[in-house]
Amino acid sequence: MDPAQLLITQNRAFPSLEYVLQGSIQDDSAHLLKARLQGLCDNITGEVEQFDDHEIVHTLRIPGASNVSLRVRYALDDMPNPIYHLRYVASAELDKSQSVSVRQFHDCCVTKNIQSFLQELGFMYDHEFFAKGDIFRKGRMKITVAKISSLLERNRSDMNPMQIRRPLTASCFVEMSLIGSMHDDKVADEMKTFAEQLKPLISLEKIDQKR
Amino acid sequence: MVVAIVISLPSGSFKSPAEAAEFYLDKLEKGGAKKTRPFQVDLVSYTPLIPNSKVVHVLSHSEYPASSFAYAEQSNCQMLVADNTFIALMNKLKTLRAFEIRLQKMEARGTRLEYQDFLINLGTVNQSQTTKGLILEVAYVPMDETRDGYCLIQEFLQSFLNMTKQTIQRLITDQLSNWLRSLKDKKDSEYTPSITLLQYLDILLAMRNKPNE
Repeated sequence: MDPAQLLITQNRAFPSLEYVLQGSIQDDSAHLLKARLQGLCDNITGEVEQFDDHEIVHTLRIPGASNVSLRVRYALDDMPNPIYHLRYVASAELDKSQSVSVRQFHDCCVTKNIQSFLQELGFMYDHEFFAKGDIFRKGRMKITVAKISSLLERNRSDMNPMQIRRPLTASCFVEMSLIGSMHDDKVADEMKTFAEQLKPLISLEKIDQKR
Repeated sequence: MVVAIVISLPSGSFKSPAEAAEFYLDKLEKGGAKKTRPFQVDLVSYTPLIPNSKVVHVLSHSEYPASSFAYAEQSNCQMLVADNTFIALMNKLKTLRAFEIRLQKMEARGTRLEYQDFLINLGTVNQSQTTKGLILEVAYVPMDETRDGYCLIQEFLQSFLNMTKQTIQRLITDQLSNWLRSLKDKKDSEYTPSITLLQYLDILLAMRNKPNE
């Protein structure tokens, strides 16, 4: 069968799962963690990959059910024609036996009219933030060390949001994540083992969002 | 780069749309067009279960296998082009009870032909087991200037299928004629694949609403 035909006919509704461990580190110690990560991760010789993203969260209220949020993300260094990334992240599954958070995950790249499209669907603007930092890879794992900042005031017409950013805290947000297809205990072990190597600089934990 | 015209072909004088498809296919092949592979366009419509929302039509086309095209009904919003995983996202919203699939899926299936720089997709439109009509897409690949491409495709239809200019003008969708009209006072008339899919949407929606024969 021709590959194009194969792509269109195959079942595209495969579920993805995101395995996550999170933590934070104070700004003055962040460089130590970055140095450790640079040593441990795959990008030993190369330059550290950096990112500077803007994420806008839109929420849909469903009567009689929980709300749904979709996240629109784009890289500010891609301006003026960035690729928009649409993401759905469910709340973490309440599975006590898992040592990492597991959440359902769907994503796709979309064109720039995504925000007005979501509004047509009934989604409301919820909140937005900026994440700027470094990204490290170790095999299938991805570790981000990011400074999270918010907008001082919401001003859509201002095309240069750099000046009006305000850091939320005096620490960096650290997230270790891995996208897998189904429940896989090996993944959790792999992540736990790697997190262990980052101690005592940082303790990456399974965060219970409901708490 | 592509400019394309999508029309629904009349099949009134034939016994069935399938027979009409054979006839047109034969005509195209006699003219020198070569069969390449099957073609398929799907339309799935999601009806909202929540207030202040809109029906979302999601189209996929075998010519653009990695993409999905989404359109919110009765909106000023342009067509959203997304990765084909977008359909999984919509299905997620369906399981979260924000949308449901109330309207039946429409499928256009048929043959893809090539003639030099032209690409022809000819197929029948089905709604579950019922055949609703015949659809033809003629695309001129190496160009994205709408007006010039439109003229070339018009000539193609005239010579291959003996259509008159008037017939073509009657058969083209409102989407395309509105787009052509909007170009009159614009210099920039870059055609995008979304316009092709909008034409498909127009035809498939009209066929869905048409009573069965």
